[in-house]
This record gives sequence, C-alpha cells and structure tokens, in this order.
Amino acid sequence: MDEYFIRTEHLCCNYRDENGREAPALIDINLKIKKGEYIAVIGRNGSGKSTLAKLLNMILLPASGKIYIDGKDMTSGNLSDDEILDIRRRVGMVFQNPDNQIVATIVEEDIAFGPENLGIPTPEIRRRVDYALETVGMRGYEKHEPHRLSGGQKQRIAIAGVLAMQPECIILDEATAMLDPRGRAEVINTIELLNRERKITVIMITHHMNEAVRADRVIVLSDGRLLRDYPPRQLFSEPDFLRRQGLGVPQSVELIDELRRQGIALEGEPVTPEECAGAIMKYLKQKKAHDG
Amino acid sequence: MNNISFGQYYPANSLIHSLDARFKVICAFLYIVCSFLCKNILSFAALLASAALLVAISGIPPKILLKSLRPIIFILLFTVVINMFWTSGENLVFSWWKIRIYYEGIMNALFIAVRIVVLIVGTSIFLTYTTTPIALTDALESLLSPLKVLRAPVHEFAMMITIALRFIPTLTEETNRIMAAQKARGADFTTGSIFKRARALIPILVPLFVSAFRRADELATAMECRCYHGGEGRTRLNIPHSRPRDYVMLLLIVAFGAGLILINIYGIGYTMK
Repeated sequence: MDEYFIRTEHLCCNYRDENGREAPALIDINLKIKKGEYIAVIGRNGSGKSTLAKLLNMILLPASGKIYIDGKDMTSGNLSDDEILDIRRRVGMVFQNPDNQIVATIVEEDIAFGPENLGIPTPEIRRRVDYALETVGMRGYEKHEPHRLSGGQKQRIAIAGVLAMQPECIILDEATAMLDPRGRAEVINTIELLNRERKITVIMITHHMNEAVRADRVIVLSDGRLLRDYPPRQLFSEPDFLRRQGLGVPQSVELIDELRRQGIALEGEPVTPEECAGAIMKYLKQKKAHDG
Repeated sequence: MNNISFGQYYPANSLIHSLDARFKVICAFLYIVCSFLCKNILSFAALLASAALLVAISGIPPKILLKSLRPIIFILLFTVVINMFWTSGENLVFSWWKIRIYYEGIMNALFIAVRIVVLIVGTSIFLTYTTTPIALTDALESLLSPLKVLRAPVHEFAMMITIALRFIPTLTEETNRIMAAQKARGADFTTGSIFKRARALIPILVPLFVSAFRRADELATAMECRCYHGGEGRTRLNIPHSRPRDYVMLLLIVAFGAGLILINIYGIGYTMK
C-alpha cells in the first residue's frame, strides 16, 4: 500500500487556447498528499488550479506524467469504466457555482444522485442521504426545493451529494467564491468538520488567503508550475513572494507584519486570526505589567 | 422570484393527490377513452356527472379549473359552430336563407362541447393539477421502460425533462437579472411596435443562451464527477409503490367505461354517429 493517497510525478497537461494552439496548463507537477491531509491550493486565475483538480478524478487526462491514487496508477491507459467510476466516487468534487451542480428539483433526490448512479440498494441510499444531511447540518430540508435555499445551504447540499458517495477525498474548486461571508463560514466549518472527524482528505482551491491559512499545507501554482508547497506558517512568513504572485496575504499576517514594522515586538509566528489575537493580547499584558 | 411554481400543480391533500402517478397517467388515458365511448344523452350526462365528482374529490377550486379552460374557448366555440351549422339531419329546427340548423346538429354540438370540456378537466385533474411535474416524469419513465428493449432512450428523455424543470427557476431568475441590466443601460422593452419589441429581446436572449450553454457544460462535468454514466445499473432513492387505492381507482374507471358501453347499447334518444 502506498503511504500517500494522491501522488503525481512529472504531471503535465495541455489545453487548447482560442486559436486552437496547444498551450501548457500544468508543467511538471510533483505532489504527495497523505490520507486525511488538509491542503489549500492557491494561485491566480489561469494558474492551472482547476485543471489539477479535474486531473485528480479523471475528468481530464494528463498529456504526460503519472497520477497514483491510493497507490494505483491512473495513467496506465487500461482502466475499466468501473475503475474510473470508483476513482470518481473516492475523489469527490464540489464546484464554484452551486446552481450548476444540483441535478434534481428536491434536496434528497439530489443527494441521492451519486449513490443512485453507483447502483446502491434503495434502503442504503436512504441511510446515506440521512447521514449526509445530518453531517452538513441540513436535516429537515429533505423535501425542500434547492432553488429556494441560500448560497451557503446550496453548497452544503452539494457537499452532502458528494458525501453520500462515501468519498475518501473531497476537492473544492473555489466552492466558496460565490458565497457571502456567512455562507462561506458555513461551508468552511462543514469541510473542517469532515476533515477532522471523518478523516476525509480535503483539497481546497481558493482565492481567500484567510481560508488557506487554516490548511495543513498550502500549494502555490503560477502559470502551471508548482512554486511552493509549504505549511501556512512558512509560506506566510514570506509575504513579499505572495504579493509578487499577486496573491496577497491573510489579514492577520498583514496586521502582524505592520505591527512589527511599527516596532512592536510580537512573539512567535502567528498566522490564524486566533493566534494573532493571542499574540497581541500577550504583548499588551506584558506591556501593562512592564509599565505598571 | 422564489415563488415560481412548476406547471399548474395545486398542492392539496386529496385522494387523487395521493394516488401513484403511474396509475394517474393510466387513469387519465382511460378517462379519455371513456369520453369517446359516450354516444347519447344519458352517457354524456353520466360523463358530466363523473367529471363533477372528480372535481369534488380532487379538492381543486372550480374557479382554478375554469381558468384552465380559457385557452380552449376559441376551439370550443369553433367546433360548436361548425357542428351546429354543418350537420345535416332529418329534423329541421330552424332555416333562414342558406342556413339550416337541424336537431341533430344542436345535439352534436352540445355533445362535443361536453366531451372537450370533460377531456380537459379530467386530464388536468389526474395529471397537471394533482401531480408534480417531477412525479409525472418519473411515472412516464417507469411506464415507458418496456420500450428500452427497443433501444428507445427512455431514461435519457426523463433525465432531460428533469434537468429542464430544475433549471426553469434558475434561468427565469437570470432572465430577470439580464433584463434589469439591459434596462439600466437604457433598453426599452415596453414601447414600440410588436416587431420593435421583439427585436429588443435579442440583447436578452443572446447572453441568456451563452450562459445556458456554460451552465450545461458545468452541469455535465458535475454529473460526471458524481459517477453519472447513463441509466444502466442505476437504482432509485424513491421507488414508486402502488397501494390498494390505486387499483380501486383504476377498476372504477374501467367499470365506468363498461357502464357507458351498456348505456350505448340500451340507449334512448338521439345517438351521435
């Protein structure tokens, strides 16, 4: 058995631009993702983030290089249809626009769509639908019509639809980009719960640095190349690199940066808002004790 | 914008609402057959009475049902007039210049009017008013599934209808948004000749189509990600199940048809040809 759930070797992928020319979308990507990890992928528009996501569940095929899912070579070219379906079951995807990924007109039917396609027996589908709704905190909405729900709720329904297939990994392709702050918080909390308690591997493609900060590792893509693969603490300790990439840094890191520039000596390497608040509190207490 | 209701479905808790949609499709079909079995005044009276009974147990306000008849008023009048003036018979009732109206013509016009009204009311009670479009689609998929042997794309057809129904509110909302955006840029949809107004719709339709294609593309990817691979080997969350009441309703309608045939045999009065 492979130690890594997802492993890529020298992965390259091309796309056809509007003039019909082949252009590289991804160049020589080497990735290793363990089971249960929480990965954020950041990069500007057109950096290849979505292409990478679609390669990992075989919606797209690579031009060259290898992809191993749970130790199995996905690029050998002789996979059966059932094996491809199994990969799509194990690596679920949630997309940006909730309206364009909900298939049915009733919430429970939409969540059942995946298991129905997999040919799961009816009583088991019912169990999975109930379980998935419970997990995303949408119990009681079984018979609702999706178009009457809020953006955050629709996106949680989409997550539930993936969960009902019992995946081992969920890829979120800018799943929070169209949501208001409240909807975003709903989705992030749900995803973190799944990662923490169900040990589901999460790959979160995002524009929001405040979301990337919470991951175990952050991957930076630029023009199809993998530039960084660091824990957030390490990545955000070089804010200039991120600004050069047009990515910016989380507000909390920005604040710490600015305070230090003003000559306020904060301890440690705070990254998340909570850590940041803690560091400032500590500084203020020390200052108070010192002054008093 | 959140209150779009699909079709004409009227939510209520009647006996007809609770029937299995597959049986309702068959019942509607048999009811149409019944309406064509009627030949004389007695059977048409029975048909009218049965329609009134259906309205009563469906719990749908007659006012709403009358509204559904509005689009066919013209056809109704047209058939009545044609039958009245062009049926020739033996008992002349009225004659002036070249116009001759016979007793048979009046009866024919009356019968056909009753038949059309009952046809519309009967089918809309069984189908559109008491069955959600999605239940109707599932019922049709289930009833037509024997055609799969002939390689008819029954599942694909049902899936298409389901997705179309699913996207009606989404696209309606989008249309309103585009219209508002075009209005903000000075577009005018309400004045001018009908051609001018039709032309004003082009700047709405073009972005709407572009976005519909984009949505379709994304939906297809999302469906593939959820392991969609056609209808083969697919199971269902909600399997339709028939109950005794479904069979009772079916039997009642068959009995009703048999009764109508009997009335025709021992009929009295004018018999329609």
